[in-house]
Amino acid sequence: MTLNDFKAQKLQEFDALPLPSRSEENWRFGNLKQGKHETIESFRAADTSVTNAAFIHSVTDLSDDQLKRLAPLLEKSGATLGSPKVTALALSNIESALFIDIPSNEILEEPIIIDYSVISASANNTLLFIHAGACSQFSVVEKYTSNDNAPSTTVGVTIIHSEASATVKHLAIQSVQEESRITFHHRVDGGKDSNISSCILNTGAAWARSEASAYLNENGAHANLLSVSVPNENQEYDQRTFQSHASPHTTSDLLYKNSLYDKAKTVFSGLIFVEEKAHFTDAYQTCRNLLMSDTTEANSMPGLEINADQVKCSHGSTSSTIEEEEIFYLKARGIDPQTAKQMIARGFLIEVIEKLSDEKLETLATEALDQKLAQLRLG
Amino acid sequence: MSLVINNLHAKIADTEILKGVNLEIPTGEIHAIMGPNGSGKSTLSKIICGHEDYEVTAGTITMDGQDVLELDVDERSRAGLFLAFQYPMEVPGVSNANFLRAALQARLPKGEEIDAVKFYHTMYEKMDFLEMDRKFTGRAVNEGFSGGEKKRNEILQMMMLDPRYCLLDETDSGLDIDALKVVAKGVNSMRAENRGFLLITHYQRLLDYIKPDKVHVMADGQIVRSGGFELAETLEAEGYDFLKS
Ligand SMILES: Nc1ncnc2c1ncn2[C@@H]1O[C@H](COP(=O)(O)OP(=O)(O)OP(=O)(O)O)[C@@H](O)[C@H]1O
Ligand SMILES: [Mg+2]
Repeated sequence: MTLNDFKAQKLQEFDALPLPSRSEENWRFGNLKQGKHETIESFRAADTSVTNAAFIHSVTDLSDDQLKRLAPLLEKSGATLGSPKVTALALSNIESALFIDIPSNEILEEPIIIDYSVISASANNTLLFIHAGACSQFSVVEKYTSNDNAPSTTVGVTIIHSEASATVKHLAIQSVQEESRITFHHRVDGGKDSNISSCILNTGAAWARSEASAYLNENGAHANLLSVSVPNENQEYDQRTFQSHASPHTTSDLLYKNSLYDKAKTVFSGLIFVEEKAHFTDAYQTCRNLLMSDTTEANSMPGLEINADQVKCSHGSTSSTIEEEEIFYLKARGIDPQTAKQMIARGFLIEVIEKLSDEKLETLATEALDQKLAQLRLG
Repeated sequence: MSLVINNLHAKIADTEILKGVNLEIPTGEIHAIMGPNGSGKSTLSKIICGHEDYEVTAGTITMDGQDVLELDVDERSRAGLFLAFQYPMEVPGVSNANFLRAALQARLPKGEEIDAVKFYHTMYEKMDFLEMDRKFTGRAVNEGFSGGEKKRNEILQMMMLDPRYCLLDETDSGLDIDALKVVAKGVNSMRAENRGFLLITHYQRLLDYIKPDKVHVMADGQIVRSGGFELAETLEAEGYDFLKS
């Protein structure tokens, strides 16, 4: 399929698909105030700058070989967890997409960092396709900020496809202007014995919806799905996840942590799906909410569907406040109560960031987290 | 200069646990409290450092003349009180180094920043002294530490924070003999004219390494006997039954 055919197909999908409605499971508890979405007729690419750009290309400049590698990623790029309509429209802007094409055995010391500056008063798209060659090792960071202090709408699509034994780390940092709306569609497809981590860190926007899917269709593939969110005031984050195991000996580990302040609200809905032939699957799913005030709302809907034998799966969600005894311990060392609470909340979230096991990515994520924590007023 | 506990009564929920405790720990001295399980030793130490679960119904606590009961937990610590806990908390995601740093930072005037190089230098020095592996600086506070490692970590905190009055609640329990010697070394190194200690313990063994100036026995929420080191020896030999005679 040519890029033009793809574009036409996505426009057609957009026209044909209905708007999301409350009766759909994926939008239960979700915020349907689509605001500007109904009136969006076209997307524009967010302003983009790249650090460490050797392997990143515009999809309009690809060789035939590269187009061949891109094709399966395009095929899998549609959103499946509730936002196919806006995602189709964003994908129709395919000529603005970037393709990271890492050759086999290539090991990058430095992360590829993509800075997106979303443009206020318009609908932005970011489209990123990543192909990890066999045994390659690298990391990619996507940073979302706003170009000025006015609201915007953004759809971010990141599709990662790895060949055998690749190690990929992906970190998306969302800190757009606080009245903005943003929807993410992240998908990873792990090759044989590959190890892919994808982490999303949300601090900005009025409303952010993230869909993260891991497809483990090859023996030995492993995926880590991670998320850190720090909503405050009236921010709402809606998180949808899917861990799909279609081959034996595949593993996935999901850890989502939310620290909620003021009147913030989060929705977590996740599904682990193990196909009949996917024996010896290990799949874990944990969502933990830390309620920093008594006016927050955290909804969790963990889910499991297992059709194979010899499977280790667990899912769970917890919502709790900080234990008084823990605060007491810090206070007993002279730390004032506000600082103590912040340290504990930070520690709670840092545990997710540490799972990236990459010093540079951890530093970037921690900086973004600290920036948000510094802004919070504590009651 | 001394830490003075005068006629202290305290309750939790509706149970009175301390029933008139009188105790004076002058600086330069080490006092030990022994006593049966449930007699109120940990309760006393937690009330001194300000635990909110207990209600003080009568009595006073003063530190060099300053009213301690008026101060919040964190203020008491900054004023120079330190309690090494019987069961130290785990603080996930907060590294030992960051924890100590925050505790020291809290003691500085507003706007003043801790000197990071000096901080690490001092911390490593104390860790070496306590024979603690440096990997503990990066690990989350007490998380996954063995019982003995937690106790040693409490002593590290004590050495870093340089308090005027140190309360140690069963720091010796669960320690192997080498760890006990290390803890004793830490305490002895801090022994000073301007510092007082209160050791809560069940065993004379600790007192063989840290010679106390006075030994007190607590029973049913009161100090019922006070004496010298020989009191600990009597307890070791006869158990608490001798209190009844
Ligand atoms: N939250 C509570 N509610 C009710 N009773 C309590 C509570 N906390 C402590 N107590 C009681 O207070 C009494 C004193 O407890 P404390 O921990 O001070 O004893 P202790 O002398 O330190 O004992 P040990 O030698 O076993 O450490 C005990 O009988 C205990 O059960
Ligand atoms: Mg006790």
